[in-house]
Amino acid sequence: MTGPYMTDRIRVALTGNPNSGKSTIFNHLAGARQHVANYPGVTVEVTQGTATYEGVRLDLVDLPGTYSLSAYSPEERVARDYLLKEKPDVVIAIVDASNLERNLYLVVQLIELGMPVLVALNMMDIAERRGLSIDHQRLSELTGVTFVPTVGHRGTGIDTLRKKILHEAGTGRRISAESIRYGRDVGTEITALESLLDEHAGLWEEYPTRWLALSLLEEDSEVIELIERKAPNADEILSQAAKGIERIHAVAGSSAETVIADRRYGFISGACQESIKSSVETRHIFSDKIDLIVTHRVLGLPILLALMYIVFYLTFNIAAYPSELIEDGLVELSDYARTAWQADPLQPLNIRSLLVDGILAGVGGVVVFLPPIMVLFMAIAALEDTGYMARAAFVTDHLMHKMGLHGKSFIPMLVGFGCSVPAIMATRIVENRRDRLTTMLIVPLMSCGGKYPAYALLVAAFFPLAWRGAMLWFIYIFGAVLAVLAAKLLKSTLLRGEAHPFVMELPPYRMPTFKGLLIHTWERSWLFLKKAGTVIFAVSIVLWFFTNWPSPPREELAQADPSEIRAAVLEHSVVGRVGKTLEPALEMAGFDWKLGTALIGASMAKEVFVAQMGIIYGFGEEGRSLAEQIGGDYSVLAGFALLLFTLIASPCIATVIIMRRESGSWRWAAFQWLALTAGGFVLAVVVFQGGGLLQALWTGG
Amino acid sequence: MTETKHVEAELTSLAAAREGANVRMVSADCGRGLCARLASMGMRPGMTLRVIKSAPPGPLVVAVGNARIGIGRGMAFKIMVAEETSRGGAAQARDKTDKLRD
Repeated sequence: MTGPYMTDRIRVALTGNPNSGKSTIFNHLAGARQHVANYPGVTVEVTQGTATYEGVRLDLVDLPGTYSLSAYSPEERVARDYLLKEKPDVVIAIVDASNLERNLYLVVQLIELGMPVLVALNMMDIAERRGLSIDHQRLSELTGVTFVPTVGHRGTGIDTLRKKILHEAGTGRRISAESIRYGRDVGTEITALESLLDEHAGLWEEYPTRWLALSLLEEDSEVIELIERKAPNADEILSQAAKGIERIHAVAGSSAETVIADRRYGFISGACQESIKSSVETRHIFSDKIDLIVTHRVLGLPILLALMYIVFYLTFNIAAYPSELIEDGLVELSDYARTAWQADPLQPLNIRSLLVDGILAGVGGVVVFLPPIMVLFMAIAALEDTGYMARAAFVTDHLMHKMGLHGKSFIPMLVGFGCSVPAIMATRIVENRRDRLTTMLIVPLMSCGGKYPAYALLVAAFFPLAWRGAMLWFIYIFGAVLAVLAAKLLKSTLLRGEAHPFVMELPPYRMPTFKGLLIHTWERSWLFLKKAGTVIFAVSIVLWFFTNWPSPPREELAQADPSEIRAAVLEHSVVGRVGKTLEPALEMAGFDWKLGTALIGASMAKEVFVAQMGIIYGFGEEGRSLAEQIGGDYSVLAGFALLLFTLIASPCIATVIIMRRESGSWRWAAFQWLALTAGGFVLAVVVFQGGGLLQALWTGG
Repeated sequence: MTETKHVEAELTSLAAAREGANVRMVSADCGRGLCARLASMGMRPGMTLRVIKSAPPGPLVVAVGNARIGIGRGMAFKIMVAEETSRGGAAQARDKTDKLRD
C-alpha cells in the first residue's frame, strides 16, 4: 500500500450528454498527456489520458457523448460496453446544470448499471445566469451519489472533483439502485426475472441482475442476445420477459419501455423539484435571439454562405504566408543538399537523390499544406465550439434532404475541403449507416488541400490571368455539385432507403476557449500529419524508386543533353513504361504518357502530381516556368480535361485506407476508387472529344 | 383520474403547431430505437414542448426544458401534440406518473 489511499492507481471514465462540456473537464483533469484511441471493432474514438494527484495515478478515459445507455447508436454501445467490461473504479457523469432533468437520465441509468458514479454538476455559471439555484447537497441525498458543482471553462471545482475521485475510489462502494421505484407492476416483473437469472448467478458477475431484468423488459436487443448466448435457461427467461411486457402493457396501457422511462423521469423530476429553485423567467435567452436571425428561413443560407466565404478566405489568403515560408525553406534545404553533396548525375539511384528528390520532395510537399489545413480546421473548430455548426446542419437539412443527404452530412463535407481522411472520420456524426456510407463515398469530390497545387499549376498553365480565379472557383463548386449528384444517384440505387429523420440538439451559443480550439484543431491536423509521416513517406520512396529504375545505360545518359537526363531516366523507368502502356487510353482524353506518370503519382497522393510534373520538365529551365512549359505542350481543351480528371479520379491511398476502416470493408473502398476513377476518365474523354468536335464544327462552319 | 382532462384538446401534428405555441406531446409514431432516442433527449409523451421556430418546408426548433432541439419536418409530422395554455410541463409529467402509480 502506498500513501494514504487504498490504491496507487485509479481508473476513471468520463460520461455525459453531448454538449455537456465533457471534453473541457477531461482536458482539465488529464492536461496535455492524452491520446485518441479507437475502441476495438468499432469506429468510435475514445480519448485516454493520465494524471497524477497526491501520488495516485489517474488513468482517464473520455467516453463518447451519449444521451442514454440504451445501445441505440454506436457511441452508446461503446460507452456501455466499456463500463460493463472494464469496470472503472470511478465513473464521472458530467451533467449540464442548466438542463438538469434531461442530463440526469443518463445518471440514473449509470446508477442502475451499478456504477460508482460521481456527478460533475457542470456549467453552474450558465444555470445561475438563468436564475436557477441548485442545491447539490440535496441532490446527493436524494440520489445517493455525490454531486460536485463545476464550471468547466474556468476550471472551477476541478480540484474538488479530484479529491472526490480519490475518496470515491477509496470507499469502493457500489450504489444501490433501489432508490428508483418502478411501482408494483414493473417491480413484480423485475423480481420474477431476477430470480430466474439468479439460478445461474455465476454467469452474471459483471452485470447487475436487476439491470439485466430491466433491460429485458425494455427489449434491449443486446441484452436479449447476451441471455440467448449465455443462459442455460434462456428460453424460460425470455418467455417470462415477454409475459411481463404483455402484462405491463395490459395494466398501464403503454409499452413497458415507456412505463420504465416514465418512472425514471418521474424520479428525476421529483429530485429536481426538491433541489432547484428558479427565480427568473427564462424566456428570451440570448441564444434564441441569435437563432432568430441565424436560422431564419431567408437569411439562414446567406449567413452560412458568408461564413463559408470567410473560412475559405482565411484558408487560402492568410495561410499562404506561412506556406510560402515553409516552401522557401524546403527549396533552400534541397539546394543546399545538392551543392554540398556531390552525386554522380549518370547514376540516378543514389542516396542523395532518394533523400532530396524522394523523401524531401514528397513529404515536404505535404507539409507545405499544413498551414492552410490547420487554418481551415481551426475555423471549423471555432464554428463547432461556438455551437454554430449544429445550426449549419439545421439550415442545410431541407436542402440536403432534397439531394438525398442529411443535414449532418454538411459537416464532413466541409471538413473534406481540408483533407478527406478526417472528413471520412467526421461522417460518424451521421447515425444511419446508409446515409453515412453515402456521405463517405462522395467526400473525395470535395476538393481537398492536396488537390489545390495541381489546380493552381494547371489553371496557370492553360488559362489567361483574368480567368484563373473564376476557373478555380468553378472547379471547387463543380466538385461540390458532382458530390450532390452522386449522392442522389447512390440514394436512388445502391443505398436506397427512407431518409433518416433529423433530430439534433442545438447547443446554446458559447464563447470557445483558446485551449479547446487548439485541441480540436490539433486532433484533425494530426490525422493529416500522420498521413504525411507514414503513407506519403512510404509512397515517396516507392515512387522515387520506380521512377528511377531500371536506369538507362551510363553511355546513353552520358551522350544526352544534361537538361534531358531526368526525362530520359523517367522514360526508361517502370513508371514511364506503365505510362506508355496506358498511352492509348490516355490519348482519348488528350493526355500523353508523361501526364500518365504524374497521374500515377497523384493516385498515391494528390500532392505528388506537381512534384512529378516538375521532375518531367525539370524545374525552371530555359527561364520558363513549369506552367508555361506545360501550357505549351497541350491544348487548352486537354488542360481542362486534365483539371476535371484531377478533381474526380482516384482518391489517394490514405483515403482508401481510412475508407476501408470506416466502412468496415474493402468492397466499399474499392467501389469508391473504381467509380471515381472511371467517372473522372469518362468525363475527361467526353469533354476532350466533345469539345474537339464542337471546335471542328465551329471552324468548319 | 386526471388523464381525461387533456384529451379533449384537439390533436395536431407538431409540424402543424404554430410558432411560439406551448404544446403537450401526446405520441410519436416512430421506430423503437428512434422513440428511445427522442425520449433520452427529453421528448416523450406528456412533456411540454415550445415551438421556437417552424418555417415550412424547413426543420423546426423545439424547446424541451432548457434545451433546443432541431427536428426534421418529416419527423415532426409523426409527432402528435395538443396545444396547451397554462399548466407547466412538470405538472403534466407528474399527472402521467400519478396515473401509473398503484
